[in-house]
Amino acid sequence: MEYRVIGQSVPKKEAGEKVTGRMQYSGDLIFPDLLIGKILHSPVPHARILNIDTSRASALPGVKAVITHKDTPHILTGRSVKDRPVLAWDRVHFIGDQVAAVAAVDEETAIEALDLIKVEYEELPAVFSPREAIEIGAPIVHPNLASYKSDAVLKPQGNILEQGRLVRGDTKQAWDKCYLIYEDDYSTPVVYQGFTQPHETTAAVDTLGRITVWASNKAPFILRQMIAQSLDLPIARIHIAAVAVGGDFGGKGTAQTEPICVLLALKSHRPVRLTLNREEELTATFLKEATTTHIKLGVSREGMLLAVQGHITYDTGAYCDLTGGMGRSCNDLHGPYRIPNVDLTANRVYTNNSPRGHMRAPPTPQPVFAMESHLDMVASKLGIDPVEFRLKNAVEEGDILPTGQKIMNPGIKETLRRTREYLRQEKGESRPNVGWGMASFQYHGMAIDPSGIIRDRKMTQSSAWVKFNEDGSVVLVSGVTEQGCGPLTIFSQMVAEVLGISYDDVSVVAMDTDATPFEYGTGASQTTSRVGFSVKMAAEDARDQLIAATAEKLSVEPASLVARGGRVYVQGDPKKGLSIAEAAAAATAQQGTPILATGAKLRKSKLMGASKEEWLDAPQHGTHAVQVEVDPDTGQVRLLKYFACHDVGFALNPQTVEGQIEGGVGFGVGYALSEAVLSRNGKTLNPNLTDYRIPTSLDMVDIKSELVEIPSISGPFGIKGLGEATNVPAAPAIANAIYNAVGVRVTNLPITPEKVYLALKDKSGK
Amino acid sequence: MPCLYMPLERTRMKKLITLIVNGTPSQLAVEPYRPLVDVLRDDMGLTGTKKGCGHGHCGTCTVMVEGKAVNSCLTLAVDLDGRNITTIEGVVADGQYHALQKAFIQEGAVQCGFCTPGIIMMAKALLDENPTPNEKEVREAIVGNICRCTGYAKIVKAILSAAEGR
Repeated sequence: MEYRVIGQSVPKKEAGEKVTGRMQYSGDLIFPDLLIGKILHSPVPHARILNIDTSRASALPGVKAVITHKDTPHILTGRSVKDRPVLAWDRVHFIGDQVAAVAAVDEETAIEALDLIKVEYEELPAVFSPREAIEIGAPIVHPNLASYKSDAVLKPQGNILEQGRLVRGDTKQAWDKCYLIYEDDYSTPVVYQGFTQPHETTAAVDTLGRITVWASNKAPFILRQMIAQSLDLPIARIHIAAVAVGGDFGGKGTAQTEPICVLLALKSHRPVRLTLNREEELTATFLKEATTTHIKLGVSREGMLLAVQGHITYDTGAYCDLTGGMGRSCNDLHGPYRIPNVDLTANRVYTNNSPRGHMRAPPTPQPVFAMESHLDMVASKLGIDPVEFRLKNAVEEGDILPTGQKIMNPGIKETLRRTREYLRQEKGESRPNVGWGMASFQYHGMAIDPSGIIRDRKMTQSSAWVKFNEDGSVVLVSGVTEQGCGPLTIFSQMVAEVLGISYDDVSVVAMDTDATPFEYGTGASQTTSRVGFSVKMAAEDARDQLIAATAEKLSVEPASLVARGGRVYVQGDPKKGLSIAEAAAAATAQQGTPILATGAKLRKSKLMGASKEEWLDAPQHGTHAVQVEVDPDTGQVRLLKYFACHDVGFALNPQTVEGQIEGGVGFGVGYALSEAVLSRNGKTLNPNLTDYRIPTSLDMVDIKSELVEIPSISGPFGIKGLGEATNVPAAPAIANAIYNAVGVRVTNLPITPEKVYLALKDKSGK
Repeated sequence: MPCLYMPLERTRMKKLITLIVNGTPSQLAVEPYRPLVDVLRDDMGLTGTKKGCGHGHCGTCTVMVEGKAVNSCLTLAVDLDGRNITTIEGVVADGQYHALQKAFIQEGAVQCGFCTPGIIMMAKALLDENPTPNEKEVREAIVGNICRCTGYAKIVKAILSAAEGR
């Protein structure tokens, strides 16, 4: 099939608005009577609230509203697990918990007002590590956990929120048959999504009492539901209005500060803007979980994987916004390999640390770092090349995973072969303190989960409309948000492709709960496949209506017509036809209204209801390779070359695909080398963007991305998901490169110069 | 934060200043503690300049003062009385995109777009001083501007291609 619009690197729809600064984000709304909102956070990690006195704050000139739990219904909320209040009413669970909020005429007055709110706390024993939290007699973070509502089946126990297990064969018997058994422990730190736009909300109430919210949020319809649920308001009273989102990476898919902003606007009767500063961002928002992992792996003399046993623990902090699915975590430990004997477990544990939520490919980077580091150690002990080792063991078409699912259209082996080819060309002579490393991954978001935790099916729906204006111009209407990964662009390309018109002829209305049909939200690497399916369906419906109208007008068979080059015409006889505008006018005349085509129910009808096997169509596979240089005197690691090979199914817009890969690599480089939110007794020690080190332009090198295109059957035009997992193999690839450069294995991220230096010293001492 | 060493009422006494923003002088009454970024955004409605952290850690709010790139969150507006300030709104000339803006669109250097205005201002300051930078010079110039979306690859490429096309 030859395409004309998709497969092309057309410029992004909204790029012009963004390079000129005209693009509107949630903090860019200007109102003459705008108030500034601020939140009072708990200074203690675990306490009972005895009293909150807001009288002095309310009396301060310039303060227009002060709210506490008394202004909220006492309803627990959360995107998946409902374990937190909008404002704490009886207990605080971490340093940073939301206790009260004010709206004032300016920021200085709001900050002054926060100082005047007096809260009496009775401190309770707190627990800061999962290891302590699972001990008998440990302080219980959520005593009423069993009664909490959740849309997943969790079976909590004490501080353990959820557990997962993946079993196949018999590991106990398998160990005897192994030529080599290797065990080790790995750990990963808490990290921050690090979007450049902080969480920022503006809310205003109109004279009819309807609330409009402009939010830095990638899931407007979920946000609307959560505001309604947590404040006990009807959904119809809430309008989430269109604004661009300045980066998400998992951190902007829930309602946390938005309900507070809404309450302040309702109470003050004025528009309110509430922006988190970076100290609040790094202390009181949902960050990525720290983990500890233990792996025991057995192989044959020939390098075939025979058995794996392992356990991974996630510290979910005081609240768990979204369960990541511990079963999925077990699958991530297992990876894209054939292993006959498997016993993997995972659990997620509450502590009084700051709360943890989603961040780019949850819960995958942590187990993949552990397993891919471990595989390299085993390969090196066996004396096998790491790429060959993975090729020997990688899954193939039709393999059955331990979940019982059959794998379809896997790209892992092809990404490994391309990586082998790249390394063959690039490797060159070995140099001291310079080494190559590689790592692979498998990711399939919510699709691989032996524990069967699938959230409410209706919720993953997408719908889209393709509308014709009376002059024949085309509008795509979708609730999808644009946080940078390019949905407005690629969906316009899809519509243009199907209708046979040009990319520039498609306008988009998006991101608005009043203007668009329901949409689950941009994320989970599902946007292009799930939303794209409904967009394609709507465009095809529109095309069929155009063809039907043309057929009637010209008295020809609909089957003989095609839509191409801005016309609908008889195939083989381009002169016999109508322009798109004429065809649309004919449809309007025949139907009495311009064309409104719809596409929907994709996830339910095409995937959700499908057989178990179809679920595993198009797992995401990829392999990264990296060359590093280590300074033995300082432990400093410098990247020299980076290669990232991903199976994308089909690249709808190659430039956008590359952009996702390059950004993902940047993400992974920070995870590998510099990023960690440090805390002691629940107190964040580095809550700013200097002490929390996101990679800069000098930390990065040019990235060579290579695309494998093995089409899926479930994605529109054969595409596979991509965005999140591009960061996943970076950290283990870099750890493996450091090992190959200087012979030290660092098993706890981030691999700071200090750790490398100490490991080198340790090694030379032996 | 209000100044801690002075009573709040005194720090709030507004000062009359003239800012020449994108060539147009404007008279403004501004509290002495307010950073330029807030005055641009909240008083002048120039919201193209984004505020990422307020502490000079991210470079998102970069503007040019007398041709030099500065963090507008670390620059007090009252210190700029009578000075020339260029913001992202002043980069488009006669309705035409600047070479950098064209290159950012063409090379796909824009993702979420929040860091984009600041990086374009930083790159403009670089190209105004050094019209033909190499890759290392570009990377050094934008080292204070955090971008979380792109891994900087296409941003560096766009700045180099804008320099070439000039």
